[in-house]
Amino acid sequence: MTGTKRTAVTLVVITVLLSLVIGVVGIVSVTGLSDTAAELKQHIIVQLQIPLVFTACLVGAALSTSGATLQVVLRNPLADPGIIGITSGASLVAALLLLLTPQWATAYLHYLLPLGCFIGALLSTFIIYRLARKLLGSSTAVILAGIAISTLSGAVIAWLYMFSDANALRNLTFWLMGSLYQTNWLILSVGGPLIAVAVALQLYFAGDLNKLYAGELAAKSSGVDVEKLTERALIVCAIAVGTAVSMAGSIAFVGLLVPHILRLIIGHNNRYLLPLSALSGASLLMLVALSSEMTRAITLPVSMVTATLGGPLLIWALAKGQIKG
Amino acid sequence: MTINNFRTQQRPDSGINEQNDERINASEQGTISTNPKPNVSVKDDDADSNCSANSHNLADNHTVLSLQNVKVASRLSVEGLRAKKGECVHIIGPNGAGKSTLLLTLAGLIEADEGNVMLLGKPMSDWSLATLANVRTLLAQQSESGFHLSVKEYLSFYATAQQDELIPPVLEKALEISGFLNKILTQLSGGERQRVEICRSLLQIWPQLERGEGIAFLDEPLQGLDIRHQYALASLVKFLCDKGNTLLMTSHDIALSANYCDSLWLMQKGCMVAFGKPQEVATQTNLESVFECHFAISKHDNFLEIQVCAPISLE
Repeated sequence: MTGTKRTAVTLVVITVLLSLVIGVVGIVSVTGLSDTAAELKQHIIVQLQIPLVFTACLVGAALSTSGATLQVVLRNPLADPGIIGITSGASLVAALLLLLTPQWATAYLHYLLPLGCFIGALLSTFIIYRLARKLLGSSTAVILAGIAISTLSGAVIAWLYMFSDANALRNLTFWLMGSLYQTNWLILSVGGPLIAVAVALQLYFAGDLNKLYAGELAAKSSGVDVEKLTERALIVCAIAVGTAVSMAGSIAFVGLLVPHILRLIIGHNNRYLLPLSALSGASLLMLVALSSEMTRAITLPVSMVTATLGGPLLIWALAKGQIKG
Repeated sequence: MTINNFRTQQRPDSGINEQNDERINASEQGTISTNPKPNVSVKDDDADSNCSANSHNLADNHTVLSLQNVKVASRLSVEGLRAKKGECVHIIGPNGAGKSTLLLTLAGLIEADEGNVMLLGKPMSDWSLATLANVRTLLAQQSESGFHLSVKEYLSFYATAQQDELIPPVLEKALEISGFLNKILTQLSGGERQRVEICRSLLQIWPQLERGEGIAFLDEPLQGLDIRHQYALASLVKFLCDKGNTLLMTSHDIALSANYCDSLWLMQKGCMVAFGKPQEVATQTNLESVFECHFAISKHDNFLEIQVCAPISLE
């Protein structure tokens, strides 16, 4: 145990340092670039760069912690906020808003979109949970219901595509691939606390989550109210993911990849795994933001970068036999 | 703890053999359904103290568990049962007889539709899951874990914090799992995995078990174990009961169970057919009518030899 603890503490220190360095480099690189008026420089930093760093941190932490929690709660290593359908509800609402909002309302879209996504995420989680409960009451049912909801909203989005103009389509495609540049201080001031609380609650569940490894009956026998824990964890994850999606669109892979890689290094104890997932997820997305910043002109869709980085890593881990079933 | 040769092991109720022989004969005469009780009942205090006067376990009349007219859907219907402190109960019966449902009901994990379940003098509905967890433990039959964690990490999640060593010496002697503590859970063989699960379930209330205050429900703990570990486990269960703990386990090994328990409960189709001392319950009539095959039962001193003696025709 002491070995694991030491590894965990070392990792925490490294991650925090890395995050700081990445954050600072991100800011400084921009400061170095803009040698125009000092006022403009300040404006860029305050209105664009700092929100970007915060968004990357919050979204990364929310997605990877929720991924880790969902994998244990649903007892399925495949679980990911994207795969079980939490994000698909948000995507559907975003598509509806982006493609169908009348001309006069486009000015408010900036605020309408996050709100709509948040409601969409919660709504789809609610439907998935009720459906799963009615069908089988098992964790596999939650995943199946999630896939059903994802497929359905994917189909609706595809239909919407057919009846939309080019500009709206481009917006939607961009949003669906995730972007860290959509936020502002107002959205951050609402989303930040929401994510912070949702992540903190997940850390609070860590001890009970550990007992779920032996299955539902064993967990119940050792004093964990499994139904209540599942319900609470799903709601908390929906809030975290819903907020993240509202702030940055749908970002693939982070929730699946980060916890799996971490389990290889520090083991399965959720007391370490969950906080480290939060920190590593935050670092990963800041890295993405930084690489986006390095390429300057283009703002890269985040999913593109996370999938490009994460895909090979996951395949490598699978091939080495480190991650199974 | 060494594994005693069960043939020479002294049962606590020695010295009442003649009495018991009579009882076996008496209960063999009646059919099971019409004669479930007088001799084999533990419901009646007087009858009980008569036939177990020498038993140190039952001398303490403190009832740990009791059931009254409990019904669970279509799976279980039991009139009255009780287990005393320090009692070692083995539950036998064909597949689907309701053994697991009974254990889950007693452990407070299934709510009875009707009737009363009392644990330590308190109705089950007054217990919360969290307080139950410090009093009793349960080994369930299936436990899935698709996660690739090491045995050591897995066990550490269930062990209570104040322990010096992860696996107490008695558990290690009976279960012998320290050899694969660093192995990955999903790579163990079925029997090894079962030993880990038994260890996990007992670790949950180990401080209570050490003080002799624990209650454990083990659902088919012998499943998958090799012969040596089967008898080691039966000895462990007996050892824990002798310390004052109350253990209930289901089993399909009638011969082993009859010789290692204080009370044998025989179930069929959700009902308790017979319960009481193993010599009185594991009679030819009882077993043949419940299991639908021929048994040869012979008694040597305190050892009951039970065998299936005729092949089962498939035609």
